[in-house]
This record gives sequence, structure tokens and C-alpha cells, in this order.
Amino acid sequence: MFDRPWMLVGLAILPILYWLERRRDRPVRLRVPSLLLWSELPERTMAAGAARTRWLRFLWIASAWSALVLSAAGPFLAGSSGKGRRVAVLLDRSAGMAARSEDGASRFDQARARAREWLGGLAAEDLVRVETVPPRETPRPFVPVSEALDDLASLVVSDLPGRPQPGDVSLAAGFQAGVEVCVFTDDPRALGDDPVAVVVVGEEAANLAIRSLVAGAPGASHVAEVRNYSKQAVRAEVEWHLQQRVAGGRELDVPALDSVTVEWPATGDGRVELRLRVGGGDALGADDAFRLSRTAGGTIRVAAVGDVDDAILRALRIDPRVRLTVGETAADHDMWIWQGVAPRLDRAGEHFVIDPDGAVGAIEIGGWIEPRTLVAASLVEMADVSLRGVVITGARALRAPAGAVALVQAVQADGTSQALIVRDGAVTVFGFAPGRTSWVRRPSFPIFWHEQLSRIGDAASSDATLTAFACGDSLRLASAGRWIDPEGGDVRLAGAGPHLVSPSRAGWYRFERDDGESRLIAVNLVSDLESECAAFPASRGLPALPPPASTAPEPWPAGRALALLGAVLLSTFYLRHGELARRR
Amino acid sequence: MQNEPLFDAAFLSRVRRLRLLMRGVSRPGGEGAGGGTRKGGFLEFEEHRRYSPGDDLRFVDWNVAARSDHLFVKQYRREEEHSLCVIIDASASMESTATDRDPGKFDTARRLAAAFALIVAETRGRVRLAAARGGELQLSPVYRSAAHATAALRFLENLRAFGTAGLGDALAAAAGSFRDPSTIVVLSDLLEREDCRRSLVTLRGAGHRPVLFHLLTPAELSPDCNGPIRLVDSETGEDRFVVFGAEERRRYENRLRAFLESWQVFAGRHGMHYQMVPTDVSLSRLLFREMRRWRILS
Repeated sequence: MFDRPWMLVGLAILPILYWLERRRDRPVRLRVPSLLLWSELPERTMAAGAARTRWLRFLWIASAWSALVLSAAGPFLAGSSGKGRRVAVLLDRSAGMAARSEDGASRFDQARARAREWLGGLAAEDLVRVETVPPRETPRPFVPVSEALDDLASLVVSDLPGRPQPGDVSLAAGFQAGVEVCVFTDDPRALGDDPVAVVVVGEEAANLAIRSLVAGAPGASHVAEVRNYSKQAVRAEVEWHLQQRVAGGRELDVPALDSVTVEWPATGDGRVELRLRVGGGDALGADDAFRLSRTAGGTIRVAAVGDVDDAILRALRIDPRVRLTVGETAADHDMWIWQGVAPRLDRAGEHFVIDPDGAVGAIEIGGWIEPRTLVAASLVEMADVSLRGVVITGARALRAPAGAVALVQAVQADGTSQALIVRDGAVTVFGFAPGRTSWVRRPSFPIFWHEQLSRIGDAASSDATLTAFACGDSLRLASAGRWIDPEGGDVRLAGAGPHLVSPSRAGWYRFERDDGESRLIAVNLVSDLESECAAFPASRGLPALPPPASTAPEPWPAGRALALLGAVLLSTFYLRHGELARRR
Repeated sequence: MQNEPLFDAAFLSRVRRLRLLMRGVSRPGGEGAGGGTRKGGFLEFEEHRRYSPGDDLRFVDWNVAARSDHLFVKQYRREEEHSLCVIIDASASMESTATDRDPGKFDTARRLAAAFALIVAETRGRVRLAAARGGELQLSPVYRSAAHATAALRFLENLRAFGTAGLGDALAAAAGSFRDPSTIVVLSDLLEREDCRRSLVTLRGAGHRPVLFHLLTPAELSPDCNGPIRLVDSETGEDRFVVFGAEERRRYENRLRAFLESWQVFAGRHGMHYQMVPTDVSLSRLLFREMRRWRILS
């Protein structure tokens, strides 16, 4: 087994070396005026001896190179004398972690305390490696717990922005199997995509201050831990917290959130106006703004001081309540991403047909948005520019989240003229007013989708303040009417809301208000995720560490010997057969 | 370089001021005894000699006779009339890759031929250009005056190097073509076998005077190569695989030295002018310095 198995990629160079060796012996073709002057030179042939020499030469260089690569890969003997576990701690020490909560402790302090607490549960023989984001100049080796604690104590917050990226967990683990990685960060968004994360302790503190303000609860209670969950579950955990918000009608005062100032004064009519003042820096990302927008029940105004990331504006614009007071700087923001699709559209017409088996499906973002649905969504986006109607074929497009979001979004783009028709679950035709922009490129599935459903409910009930679709497959409707479940039959919702309905499966539901208005609602949640969300524990404690998976591997001392051998072979080869020898 | 002007105007005017020094190769014409049949050229007084029976009375200098009581006839000498033939080896072996410093053998040959043609035509001599290829001569018309210089240059500009040379046969053909004794300038890499030398001897025996310019490129003088090489003869396509190292380089240089010496000895033995010309020497230097040093031009 190898400590750094990716280094074995270096062995792929061997065929190239062989090719170079062959090329080295190939005679140069030289056109001369006459062979007269060359007649004294003995004519040679490619004798068998030369070929044998070439093979020997290749074996020599191949052995040397292989030895170097193998030693660089860090060979070790599985099941050797080590008994401890190998644990990596990935601690976010980016600038954002310096933010302090109400009790005065910075996010970094909180994260480090949690890390220390977690390390305290390890055995003395366990080996720990502490990695940080942003990384330190020199990667740290696996050391005993006591040394790791000292290392942890010496860490300070960096002044660099950043957050864990996909791959950081793998990097912290040294890309080794059997290493448990604990991540302490204020922003675990990207970690869920990491393929080898064994343990993730996510501290969803990015929204900590806001949530604690909104909910009136101390931030410490919102620290979350996710353990042994799939990437969907990790994301769902984040979204779960977002579901806990309290929306609307509350006056808030957020004094500081790094470089973002949030003001939320009451308007006196029960509506809320949230003002974000962006003071520069990149602590506020697009997703942050998106989440902020969803915490607001009223109008959101963005007053920009300095540069405002275009992504923030885009994120805010997904909410029709958002009023941008900094100018339409993002007017053409989305055009570039659809360049690959746009040439396929017939701009002269008003309708477009996408073949579900067409050749567009090469686009893929992440692993869970189907290419076809992305195209469907992009068509909706294009429709904002110049179209009145879109035809999307293929039922799968409707079942997938992005497609559903796109469809629902298109429906809500114009509350009075939309038409949504489903024929056999295969063809959807809808129309809407042109010129409306209502698509976010990275919908935070599935919450965003919930929001859109909520908005449909809102549109159906003019007196409702909010309709939310909660995590447990429940849709909260504010109006009286009928909830028509295709399988479960009609449910009469009497009186003013909230009424909770629970679609039990993905499909199309209809909500009819008493005054005759009706909305068709698509429920397309991935069933596995739904169940995970539903099964998520209401109260979470610190998870116990899993039992040791295996004995930790011991480095193989022969690795160094291999490296030495490789270096000697390489140098002697170069001296004897390399360019140096040729020149000599 | 082919079909491009060989000289610019400034260089042309400089070349025209040069004169051919090879007096011995000009055709002397005497008036008086035995020289009266020649035509053309100018008569130039040389000396008096006593009258002898049979002398043309038109040449008796009566003034001198009156003063000395003896008859003297004027001895005239026809002004020398250069008769030059420039034979260019137009085989594929002459086509070497040109570089910034080295225009290549064929281009050097063409420029040298053009220079000779201009110089001789300027002195009202007779110039004929010829390209040797495949054992045959491609002959130009005879150029007699400066007015023909343009035609001579055009002839050279249109020449191309390809095929085999067969210089021996071509020179033998020249011996049959030129009746009047001429200076025959041969511009070649002389990478030929023995028959070439035989033809040169024949030319010499017929009263011509061959002048050999042995053109060699720097790559031929000192090959810039190393390791395994497949040599391909540019004329015959024959190939040969050698491994070129220090020992092989030494052998090559010995062979080259012997080759050049053999030509030098051959030319000296038969009273021919021989000069090895590296092609990386500029034409200007060749014409205005080296040719003077070799007593070919002034």
C-alpha cells in the first residue's frame, strides 16, 4: 500500500521513456551532394547488439524511474506494527472565521474548541494531522494527539479569504483510505462533494449570526454535526438550518457581519425591509446573499458601497421581492453561460423544441442535475430574453430538481398569464410574459425549490403572509381551498391558514382556492433525500467517534532505499548514456 | 534564390569596373605575318621590323624609310579579345540549403558566372555560358558586348540545379563545341569521377585553358552532425548508414583533404588554374579581394 498512491501516475511515463529510447537510436537522414567524400567511413547496420543495448538502456532508466516513483508514493506495509487510528483535522482559519458571535467568541475559537474537544476523545496511540484552510506552507505529518493539540493551539486566523473546497478533505487525508477527517469550518458547502470524507463535522456558522438574530437563539445552539452522511445529506443538513428561520414581521438589527452590514427596520405595516450594505471584501458570497434574501419577508434592498459581486446581485434577483437600487449591473449576467445552447435555438420563432435524446446533453454541473434538465432550465432562461413559449419534451426533465425549478419559476414569472399544462407527464407547455428574469444559476436544491412552491402558494392566496414547504414533506398553505392529491384524493382546507398538506410522492398536485383560483404544484423531491431530511434528528449531540477501522499503516523504510537506488541508477545512466556522455 | 535578380544595380556597376587579368587566356591576334586572316578587334601598333619580300606594301612605313634608307614595315597587334566560356555544374549536388551566411553552391556559381560574363562583355569580349547536367551542355548564345549583359543574367537566373552532372561528358562536349581556344571557367563541386579529369585534359590539349573553381559548402568542409546518420546521395539517391563520431570525423577530414589535394595536383600538372571556393565567403569579398589575390581579376 502507498501513502501517496497518486504519485504512481508517474509510472505512466515509462512508455514515453521507451519511445524516447527508440527515437534516440533512429538515424538522422542527411542529404549530401555525393557519397564520394563519405566513402572512407565504414558502413554500419543496426546490429542485434545495438538493439540489445537499447533494451538494456531502457531497463536501466525504467528501473531507476520506477524506483523513484515508488518511493515517492510512500510505500507502507498494511497491518504492520501500528495500532492507532489516523485522523486528520481540517480547520478553517480563513478571514471569515474571525467573526465573533454575541458571546464574544470568534468562529475560529469555537471551531478550535470543538476540534480540541474532539481530539480529546482519541486514544494516545492515535495519529493526528492538522491541516488548515488556507493551507500552511508546510504540510504537517501525522503526529501523536498531544503534539496535534499543541499544533492546534498555535494556529491563528489568517487574513486571507477562503473556505474548504472540494478535495480539501481528501487532501487533508493525504488521499489515503482509512483516514478519518474532521472538518471545522463556518462554510461546509463544498465539502459534501468530497468523495473520501469519512467523518464531517460541519459547523454551519456562516448563517449563525443571522439565524441567531432571527430566531433569537444563541449561535452555539446552531452548531451542527453531520456524520457519515452522503453528500445530499450534508447539504440537507445545511438546508435544514435554513428551514428553521423565522420569517417576516420582525425588526432586526444586525450590527456587523464581517464586511456586511444588515439592517432590517420595520416599515410599520407588518412588512420588513432588509438592507444589505456591502462594504467590500468577499466574505459575502452569492450563496450567502441568496440565503439572506430568503430570510426576509419583505422587500430587500441592496445598497452597494463599493464593488458588489455580480453573483450577489444575481442571487438576490431570484427573489421577485428584491429591489435593486444599485442599477441593473447584472442585466446581461447570464448570457455567457448559455452560449453553448443559444446557437441551437431558433430565435425567429416563439417556440422551441428540445429533443430529450438530442445532442445537447453534454452539459453537466455537479453530479445530480441531469444534463437534459439543465438544458430545459437554460431554455427557460433564454425565454426570459426573447421567448413566449417553451416546449420541453421528456418526462425525466420534469422529475429532476432543476427542471422542476425552471418550470415552476417560469410559472411564477407572471402571476396572471401563466399557463401550465401537463400532458401525460411527458410534455409541458407554458407561457409567460417576456423580459422577466427569474432564474438562479445555482439553485440550492431542494430549498430553493421549496421556496418556489411556497411562492406559488403565495400567489394563490393574496392575504397570506407566507407559505412554506417544510422539510417533512409538508406544504403550508395560507388560504382555504382544496388540496387535490392525485392518489390520496381531495383534502378540504377550511378557514384561513396555515394548512399543512403532505404530498407523499413526487408528482403533480393541485391547490384550488375557494374563489376559483388554482395552482398546479409539482412535487419532485428526490425520495431518498426526503427520507433523510425527515429522519434527521431534531436534537443533535456530538457524535461519538466510530471505532477504529483498522490499524494504522506504518511507513515502509524500504521507500527511502528505493529512492536512493533510483537516484543512483538515474545519475549513472545519465553519465554513461545521457547527453553528457554524447557530448564527451 | 532562383529567378531572383543576381545582383542589385550598385553591385552591378562595381562589377563592371573589374577587368579580367588572365591575359594568357585571351586570344592574341597579330597583324602582318600570319595574322591577317583574323577579323574583328582593333589593330594596335607594336613595332617596326625590316621589310622582307612578301610583306604587304600597305604596311611599309615610308616616313621611316625616307629617314633611314631602309624599308621598314609596321608590325601591328590585334587588341586582345577575351573569349570566355563559363560552365556551371547544374546537377542536384550543387543544390545545397542556403543560409544567411551561405547562399549555397549553385547560387554562388551563378553569381560568379554572371560576374565573369559582365566583366568580359564590358571589354567587348566573347562570353558564352553553359550549364552542365546529365552529361550535356545547355549553351547560351555568344554575348559580345555590355548590351548583352541582361540576356546573360536572365540565362543564369533561369537555371536550376537538378539531376546528375556528368561533368566529364559535358566537358568533352565543350571540347567539341568551342573551336577557338577559350578560357573555360568551370564552376562545380567537382564531386565527379575520373572521366571529368580526362575531359579537362582533352580541353587543355585542344588549346583551351580550363579554370577550375571548386565550390564547397561549410557543411561539406566540416559536417555538423553526430551519431547515427543515413546519408543519401542527392544525385543518385543511393544511401549509406554510418555512425558519425570523432573517429569518423577524422576519416572524413582526411578524405576531403586528399580529395582537394588531388585536384590541386591535377590542375598544376596540366597548367590549369584551380581554386577552392568556400561558399560562405561573400561574393563581394570573392570578386574584389580574393579574385585579385588569385590574379584573376583586377
